[in-house]
Amino acid sequence: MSEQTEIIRKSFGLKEEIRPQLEASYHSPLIEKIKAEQFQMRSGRMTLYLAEEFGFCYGVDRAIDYAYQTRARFPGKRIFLTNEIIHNPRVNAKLQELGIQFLSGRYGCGGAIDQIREGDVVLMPAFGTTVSELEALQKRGCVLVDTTCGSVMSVWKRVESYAREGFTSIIHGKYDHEETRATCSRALQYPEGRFLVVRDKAQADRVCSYIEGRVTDEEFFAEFATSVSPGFDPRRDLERIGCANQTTMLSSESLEIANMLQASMERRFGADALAGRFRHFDTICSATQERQDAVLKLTRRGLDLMIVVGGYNSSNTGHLVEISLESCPAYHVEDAAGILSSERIRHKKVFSPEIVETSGWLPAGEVRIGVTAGASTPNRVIEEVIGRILEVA
Amino acid sequence: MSEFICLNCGMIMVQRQCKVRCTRCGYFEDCSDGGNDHPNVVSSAAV
Repeated sequence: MSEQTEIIRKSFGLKEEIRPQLEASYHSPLIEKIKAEQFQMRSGRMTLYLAEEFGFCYGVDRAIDYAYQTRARFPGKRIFLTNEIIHNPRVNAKLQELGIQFLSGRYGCGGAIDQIREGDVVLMPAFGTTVSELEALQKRGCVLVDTTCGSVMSVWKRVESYAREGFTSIIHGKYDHEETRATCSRALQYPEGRFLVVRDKAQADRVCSYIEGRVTDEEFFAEFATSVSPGFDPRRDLERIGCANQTTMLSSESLEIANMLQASMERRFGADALAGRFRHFDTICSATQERQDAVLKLTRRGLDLMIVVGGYNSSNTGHLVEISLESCPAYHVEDAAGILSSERIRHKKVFSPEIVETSGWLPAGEVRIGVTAGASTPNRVIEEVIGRILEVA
Repeated sequence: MSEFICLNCGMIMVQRQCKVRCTRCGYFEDCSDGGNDHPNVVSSAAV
């Protein structure tokens, strides 16, 4: 591996230069106005309530900022992203317009890491990259610009410490999500490094059942064969465990899963042995937590419905929909095009990748609508959705 | 009062509950952090 590969993690100092571009593409005077008016807006029969925390988080804001600064800093160079910088189609399309090419994922140019040449510039996205990808890139002699979210890296530290100490990381996340794949790869750097990814409380409950001897190896692998580290032996690898999470999961669920696993380990091995067999640190992302808390607060206002704006593949946006649905009908739209008419709306179904059209989404008469957005959604997109709602109402 | 600088992006970190957290990139540290290595490196102690 080349020791000379440069990894840039700090600003190029071009923030002022790129500010007009960012403002033109992502900012919204309307959203600023609604925020200034106690997060409320009234128009005709509609009252719109905006969540007090929504949209771009610090990690996303920084990743986009660095991508634009990178383009400004290296105007003549080929610039690549390893994958989507964040899960928002508007942002990824804008980066393509800047001439930034994607090596993989839905915007992939069909290229591969072995096509990267010395002098090229490669952006690592907010989700991070796997260790093997990082190693491969470092061998190419390119300039690496690392936009990995700091909260994600804080999780990596935990997973690596578990691996060093011989604890298996139980990761609450989605196995095929870029962030979780990168986090899993961190465990595998160490001889004792193991991981198991659990999607939700139901899966965590099955892991607890295995720990306590109520599930066979066959039953365990029938469910987890694709979400464990290579050579995983549940008898050996569930004797010492540590909890971690994908930063965009439901924070309350991550905590519940940690508590479930702790209780299970205590029942299996006894309270005195717990300290040597169970680890847990709070790695909940504060921005994710704040957005989830804010949407919960918003639902208590007695809404007729909630509109959640964000990329269909955005994990944190999906969780905002889940929280909203506890209280009222909620629709996850990617952008203004989802608001088809006052009668019909196109949206993503919760707990499913399916995009559907629903009739009768907008009630007659006075309507109270909550609006929130995932951490990767530009204010400009939220503004367009609000504008479209007011147009069709 | 001590000032903490973010290992990741160089910004000043602020204390929040039991952690110091970077306001720019979200990176945080707490009392269980011992080292000064940047997390996004391939560990020299690793396989």
